[in-house]
Amino acid sequence: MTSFIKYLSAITLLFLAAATPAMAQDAHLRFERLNQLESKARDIVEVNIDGKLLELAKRVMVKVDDPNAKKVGQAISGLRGIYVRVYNFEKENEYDMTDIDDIRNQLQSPGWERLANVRSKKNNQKVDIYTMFTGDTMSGVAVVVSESKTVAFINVIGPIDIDLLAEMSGKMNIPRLEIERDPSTAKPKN
Amino acid sequence: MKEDYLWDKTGTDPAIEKLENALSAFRFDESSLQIPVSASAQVEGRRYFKFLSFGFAAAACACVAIISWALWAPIAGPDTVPAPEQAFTLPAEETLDSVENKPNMPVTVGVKAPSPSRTAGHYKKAVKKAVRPVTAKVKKPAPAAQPFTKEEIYAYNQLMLALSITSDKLNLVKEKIPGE
Repeated sequence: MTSFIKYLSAITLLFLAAATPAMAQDAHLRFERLNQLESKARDIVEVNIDGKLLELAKRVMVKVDDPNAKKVGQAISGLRGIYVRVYNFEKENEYDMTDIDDIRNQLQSPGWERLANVRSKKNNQKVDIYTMFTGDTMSGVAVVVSESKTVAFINVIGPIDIDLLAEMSGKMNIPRLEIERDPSTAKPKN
Repeated sequence: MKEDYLWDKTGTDPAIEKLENALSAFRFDESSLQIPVSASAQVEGRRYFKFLSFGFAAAACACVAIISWALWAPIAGPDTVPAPEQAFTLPAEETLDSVENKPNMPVTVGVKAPSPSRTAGHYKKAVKKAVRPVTAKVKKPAPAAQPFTKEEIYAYNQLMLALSITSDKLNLVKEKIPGE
C-alpha cells in the first residue's frame, strides 16, 4: 500500500510538471494566420524573443551600466517571451478588419480579460489591451492596435510591469520608435 | 681405486662405476634443458603489461595536455593564441601607425626583397630580414568594461525594439484614458 502511494505521488508530480508549462503557454497568441496582412502590407516589423535570445538580452541588460536599463531589466525579469507584429500600409484602409479577427477571436478565449480599449475617430484608431492572470500572477499581455494605415499586435508572455514599461518610452537605449522605419530583424552573421 | 679411471676413465674401477651408476639420475643432460611453458608465458605477460602501461601513460599525458590547454586557452585569451583568420599582412601603403587602430591583431610586415644589383653580403642580410617577419607590438586598447558578443547585442537590440513598440502602444492608451 505504501509503495502504491509512492507511485501515485510520483505520477501526480510528473503530471503537474508536464502540465505547468502547458498552462503557462496559454497566453501565447498564434500569429500564423496573418498572411492576408503580410501580403498587403508595405512594411512589416516582426520580432520574436524567447528562450535563449531572451536570456541573452536579459544578461546584457544586467551588465549595461544604465539606470534606465536596470529599471527595464526589473520590469521584465519574469518575462518568458515577447512577440511583436507591426504592419504598415501604403493607403488608408487597405486591410480588412476580418484580417485581424483571428487574433481578436483568440483573445475571446477564457483567461483573457480586456483591461482597456480606446476608440478614436482620428486615424480610425482602435487600441485594446488584454491581460491574462494565473492566480494572482500576470501570465500574459496582449495589445491589438488598428489604425487607418497600421495594424500592430503585441503578445507578452509572463509577468511584466505595464506602467513602468509605458513610462520608459523614449528613455531606453533605442530612441522613441517611429513605426515607419525599416525593420532591423536581420540576424547577425557568425 | 685406480686414479686413472677417475682422471680420464681408462681401465676399470668397480667402486667408482658403482657410484656413477648410483648418481646417474643427476647426470647433466644438455638436450633436456628447456624453458618451461609457464615461464615463457610470464615473460609474454610482462611484455604485454609493459606495453599496456606505456599506453596508459601516453593516454594520461595526452589527457593532461588537453586539459591544460583547455584551461589555459580561455585565460590567455585571443592575444596569445591568435586565430588564423585574425592574422593579416599589411599592404605596402599601410603604415604601422594605422595598424594601432586595429586592436588585438598580430601584425606581420613583409620586407621587400633586395634588388639583384646588390652585393652578396647585402643580399644575405636582406634575405635574413625577409625570412624573419617583423612583429610590431600593437598597443592593446583598454579592456572594455562590458564586452558583449554579437549574439548578445543582437538579442538586446531585438528586445529593446520589442519593448519600444510595446511601450509606444501602451502610451497610446495612457494618453487617451484620463487619470492614467
